[in-house]
Amino acid sequence: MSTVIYAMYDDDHVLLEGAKKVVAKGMQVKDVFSPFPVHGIDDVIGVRKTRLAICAFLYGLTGMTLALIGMRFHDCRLAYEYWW
Amino acid sequence: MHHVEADIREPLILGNKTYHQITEDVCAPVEGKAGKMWYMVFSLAALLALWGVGCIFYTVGVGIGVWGLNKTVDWAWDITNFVWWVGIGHAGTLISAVLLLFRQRWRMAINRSAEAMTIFAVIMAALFPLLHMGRIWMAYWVLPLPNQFGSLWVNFNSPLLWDVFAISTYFSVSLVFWYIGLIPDFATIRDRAVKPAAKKAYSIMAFGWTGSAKHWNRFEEVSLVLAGLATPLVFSVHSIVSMDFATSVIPGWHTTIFPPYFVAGAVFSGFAMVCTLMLVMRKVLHLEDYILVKHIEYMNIIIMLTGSMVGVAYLSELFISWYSGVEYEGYAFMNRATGWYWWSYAAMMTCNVVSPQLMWVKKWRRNLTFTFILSIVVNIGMWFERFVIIVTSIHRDYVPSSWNLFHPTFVDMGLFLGTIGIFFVLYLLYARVFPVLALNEVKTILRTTGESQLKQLRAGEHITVAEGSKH
Repeated sequence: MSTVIYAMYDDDHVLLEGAKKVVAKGMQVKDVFSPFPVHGIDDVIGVRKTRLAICAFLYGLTGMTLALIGMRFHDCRLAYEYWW
Repeated sequence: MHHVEADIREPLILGNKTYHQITEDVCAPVEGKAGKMWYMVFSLAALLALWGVGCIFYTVGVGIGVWGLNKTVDWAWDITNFVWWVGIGHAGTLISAVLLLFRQRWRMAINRSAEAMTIFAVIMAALFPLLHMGRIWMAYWVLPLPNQFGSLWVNFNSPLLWDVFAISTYFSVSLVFWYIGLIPDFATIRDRAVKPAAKKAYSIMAFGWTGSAKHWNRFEEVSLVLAGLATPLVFSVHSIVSMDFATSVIPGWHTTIFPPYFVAGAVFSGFAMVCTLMLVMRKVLHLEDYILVKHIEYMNIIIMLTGSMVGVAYLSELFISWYSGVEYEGYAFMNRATGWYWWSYAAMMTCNVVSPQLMWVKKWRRNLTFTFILSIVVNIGMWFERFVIIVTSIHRDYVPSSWNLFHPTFVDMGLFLGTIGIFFVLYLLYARVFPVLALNEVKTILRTTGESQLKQLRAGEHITVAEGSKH
């Protein structure tokens, strides 16, 4: 049977130290809610790094490629023959 | 890991603050009632705004003939105002995006309000190219949509079209960046809200934000990505706006210095407007512990830097007008300095070249009254700069038989004042509904830059960030 414990803190450093101790003891920290980002908490409770930035870059690359291709074949006479 | 803060670092948050106190200070204007001052300024702004809206309807209904434009001077106050407003908008993005990438923690007290200023300024800017079309109901023709006019496409070679894309991109990215930063703060207000209407409204605006660690992780990543997107926009948007002039053949316009000159000028006038707004806001909303003299000083340094760049651009323009040997270019500048509009050129030179140099004096750039007056002077100067560039160059260009003067009508002036009114209406409403300080960001720096916390750190004591803390 598993127990769920809720802990409330008023200091983010104490929270961080507390989370480290709890994880060291083998307990799983499900989530940490805070009014501002607690730097350092991600490694302690196992929040995985996001690939959002990589995705954003790829979306931008795709968009730019399509735009450049579109502009290239829009101005090229060859494109008109294909279109109409 | 014991944090070390250099001794020369001044605190960024004054007083004996706790996290809770920051929340209280910033949420007070949102949760409390507006003072008499707010109502007075709002009424004034609303009157101006109403007059502006009337002028808009008059312009759209009767036509561009109600402005003072003529065949020679076909761009005057409309485009001057457009460039002025877009320029002002650039400071907000620079503060939010560029200073984030440079990890400047002092931006946190001002970035929310500066971004709000950007968004409202860009809305005001967009009004002018739309209105100056005349037939605003055909505004959608600027979009490259397939059609049945033989498929009539927009002129992709024209910077006026590049403006459409640049400014709409700038507006949407700024809006998204601003809004995402607001979500955790809306959640804070939602959690504190007592009245059911307010709670409902802020719940919707907060998009269910819980403050979970994973969400904060994604939030910070998104902020960095958006900052990375917005930074090139600061430089590209105003470069494109400058190309409205630079890609033409008009003497006084056709110069390659315009893109960097305009970008520097935009940052210059933008920061001046931020100073104007922040100096009033910190007093009225009692945020003197967060928006410090230090912030004002840093902004003044940026004003001085970009003002100097603008000054250098003016001097290079003058030099090249002679050195190029092109008589039309030479005349354009002789006319600017000594011709019919010499007074606007004098205003521009005094306000933009002389005034930022005064910021070298430390005592003056740390003086709030001086800064306030100077920031208004700078904005007036930058308006005149755009006026000088636009009107004095085209009122006397290549063919003397076309030379003409320009006189603004009451609609020209009414529209400009009206946009100032609409801007302040939006800004004053924003100050009452939105938390004007980036709550969540400022809390992250309390531990390392709060006044009492720094004292504790340097004395080797434990740092307290919460009330009743025993540790």
